[in-house]
Amino acid sequence: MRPGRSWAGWGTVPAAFVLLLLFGGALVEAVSVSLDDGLGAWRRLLGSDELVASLALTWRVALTSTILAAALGLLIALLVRRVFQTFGGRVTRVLLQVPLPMPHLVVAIAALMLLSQSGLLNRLLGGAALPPLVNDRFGVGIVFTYVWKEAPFIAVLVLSALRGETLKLEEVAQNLGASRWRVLREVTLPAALPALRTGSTLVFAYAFGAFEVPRLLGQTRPSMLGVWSFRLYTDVDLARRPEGMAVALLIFASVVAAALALNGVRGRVR
Amino acid sequence: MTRVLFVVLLMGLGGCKRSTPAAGLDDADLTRVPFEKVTAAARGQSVRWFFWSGDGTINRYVDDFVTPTVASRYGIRLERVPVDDPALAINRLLTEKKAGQAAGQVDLVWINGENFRTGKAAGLFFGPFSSSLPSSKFVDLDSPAIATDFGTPTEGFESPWNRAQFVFIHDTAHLAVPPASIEALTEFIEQHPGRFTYPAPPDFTGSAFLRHVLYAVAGGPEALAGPFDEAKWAQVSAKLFALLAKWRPNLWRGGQTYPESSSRLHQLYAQGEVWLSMSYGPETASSRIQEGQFPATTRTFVLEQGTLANTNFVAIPYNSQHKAAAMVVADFLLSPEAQLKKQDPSVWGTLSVLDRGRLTEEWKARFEAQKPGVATLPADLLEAHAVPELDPSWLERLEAEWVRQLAHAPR
Repeated sequence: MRPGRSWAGWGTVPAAFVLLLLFGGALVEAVSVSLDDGLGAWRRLLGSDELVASLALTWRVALTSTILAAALGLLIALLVRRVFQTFGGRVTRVLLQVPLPMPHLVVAIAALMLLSQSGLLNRLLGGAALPPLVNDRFGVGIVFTYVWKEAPFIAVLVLSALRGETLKLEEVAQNLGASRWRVLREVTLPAALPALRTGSTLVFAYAFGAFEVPRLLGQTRPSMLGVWSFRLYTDVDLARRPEGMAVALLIFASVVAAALALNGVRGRVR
Repeated sequence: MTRVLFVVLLMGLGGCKRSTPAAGLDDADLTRVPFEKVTAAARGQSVRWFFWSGDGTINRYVDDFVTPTVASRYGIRLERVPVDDPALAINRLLTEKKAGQAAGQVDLVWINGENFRTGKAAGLFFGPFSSSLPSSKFVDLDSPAIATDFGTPTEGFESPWNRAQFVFIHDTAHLAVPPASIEALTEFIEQHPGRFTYPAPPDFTGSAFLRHVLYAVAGGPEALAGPFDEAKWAQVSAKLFALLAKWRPNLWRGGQTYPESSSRLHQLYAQGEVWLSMSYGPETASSRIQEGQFPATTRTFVLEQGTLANTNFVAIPYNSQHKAAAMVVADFLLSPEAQLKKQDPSVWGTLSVLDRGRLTEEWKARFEAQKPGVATLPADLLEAHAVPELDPSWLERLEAEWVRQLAHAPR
C-alpha cells in the first residue's frame, strides 16, 4: 500500500465499527464481570474437576459434530452434482434447504421424540433394545441434532462454490484425459475446500457455544460449557456470576483457537 | 441549550406525575381514610402490574376477567407487564431507588419468597397497607401462611392473592395406591427400578421435591424452622444425601441423568417412562388432562406428612405514582368474587387465600358448590396437608450440595 492512494480496507470500517462496538463492548464487560472478585472466579474454575470434564465433553461433541457434518455435507453435495444432475436435482436442492431455517430447538425436540427411550425409534424396534441415545454421557443426541441440521447447510455452501468456473475446469480436465477420480481430487475438492472450511468453522463455533440443544439433550453433569455457563450465571448464589462469565470466555477462546487453526494461517499467506 | 430544555421538560413531567396521586390524599392518608376515598382517588389511574407471564391460563384470568372488571367498575386501566422473573422487577426498583427516582414505572408486583425479603429489607415497598383493604376481612391475617412469606414476616407490606401447593401426580391405571410418604416412595423406587425421577435442582420443582425429602429426614418442618443453621444442616444433610444416594441406582436411567425441568418430567410421565410426576400447582394435572397431554386416569396425591404450600402476594412499590389504584386492584383480587373465579377449573383452578369461616353464608355456599378439576384434590384436603416453606437461606446449600454429591454421572 502506497501513501496517498485510497486504502481498500476503508470499506470494512463500518462493519468493523459495529463489530467492535457490539462484540468488543460485550467482551470487555464479560472480562470485567469475570474479574469481579479479582482472580477468585478463575482460580475456583481452573481448580475444579468439572472444568476438565466439561471442556473435554464440549470439544468432543463439537469436533465430532463438525467432522461428521462436513463429511456428510460434502458427500451430499458431490452426490447431488453427479447422480442427481439429470434426475431429481432440483427437488434434492430444495429438500436440502428445508433444514436451514428450522430452529435448533425444534430439531432438538424432534430428536428427543425420535431417540428417547420411549421414542419412535425404540417403539418401532419393539422395546428398549437400544442404549440411551439422549441425555447420554457421550452426547449422541446432541451430535445427531447438529449433524442433521448442519450437513445440509454445508452441502448448500459447497454446491454454490462448485458452480460456474469449476464446471468448466472439470470439463477441461476431462477433455484432457483426466480420470474421474483425478478430476475430483485435483479440481473439484480444491474448489470446494474454502466453502467447506468456512462452513466447518461456523458449525464448530455454533456447536461449541450453543445452549438449547445440550440443555435438552445433554446429561445433567458434566454438561457442555454453554449450559454450565448459564447455570453458573443464574445460580442463587450471586457470587458465582463471575465464574459463569469466565466459562463464557473459555468458550470464546476455544472457538477463536479453532477458527484460527482452520482458517487463519492459510488466509494470511494468501 | 437543548440539554437545558430537556431537563426543564423532564422536571415539568416529573412535576405533573407527582401531582397525580395527590387528589387530596398523600401516601400516609391512603391507609387511614375510609376505602371509598381511596376508590374515588383511584378513578382514572392506570396500574402497571409486573407479572410473571409464563402461563397462558393465568394470563387469561387477568386479561379476560380482572382487567375488564376493574376498568368498568373502578375506572382503572390495569396493564399486565410480562416479566420472566419477579427478581427483574426487584432489580429495577433497586436501581430506581439508588438513582433517587421518585416517579416509578411499576405500580404492583406479583411476588413472594426471596424477592419479597430482598425488597422489604431495601425498603422498596409501600405499606403496611394489606389490613386496610376491605376484603382482608375474609382472610385470616394471623395464620402463618399469610403472616409470613417463606419465613419473612409480611407485616402488611404485601397482600395475598393466590396459593399454590405441591402435589404428586400418578396414573391410577398403573398405580392404584400411590406412595404417600417418603418411606413408601423409597419402597416404590426399590420395587420399580427406573420408574421414578425428579427434575435436577436448581430447577424450581426439583428443588421443592428435595425439600420434602429434607423435611422427612429431619422429622418435619418444625425441625428446620428459621434461617440456615450449620449444626442442624450437618445433622440432616448426612441423612438426606444417604437416602438420595440409596435411591439413585434405581431412578430413571439409573440416576445417570435427571430431567432438566418439570415439563420434561411431565413428558416422561405422559409417555409412561416414569410412573410419577410432580408439580407446585395442584391444578396442573387437571389442565393437562383437559389438554389431552396426560391420560384421563391421572390423579394427584399429597404426602401423609403434608406437602409444601406457599402464598403469592402483590406488593406496591414505594415510588408508584398510582398507589390508590394499586390498592383497589389488590383489594379486588382478594374479593370473594375474584377468588371464586380464580378457583374455577375452567378458568385457572388454583387455591383461594380466603378463610371459609369468614365468608358470608351466600359466598360460602358458592365456594362449596364449585367442583375442583377432575384430578385436583379438594381444597380442604390440601389445606389439611399444607406444610410451610423452608426459609430461603437453606436453598443455596441444599442445591449446591445436591450438585456436588449427586449431579455428576458416576464413573
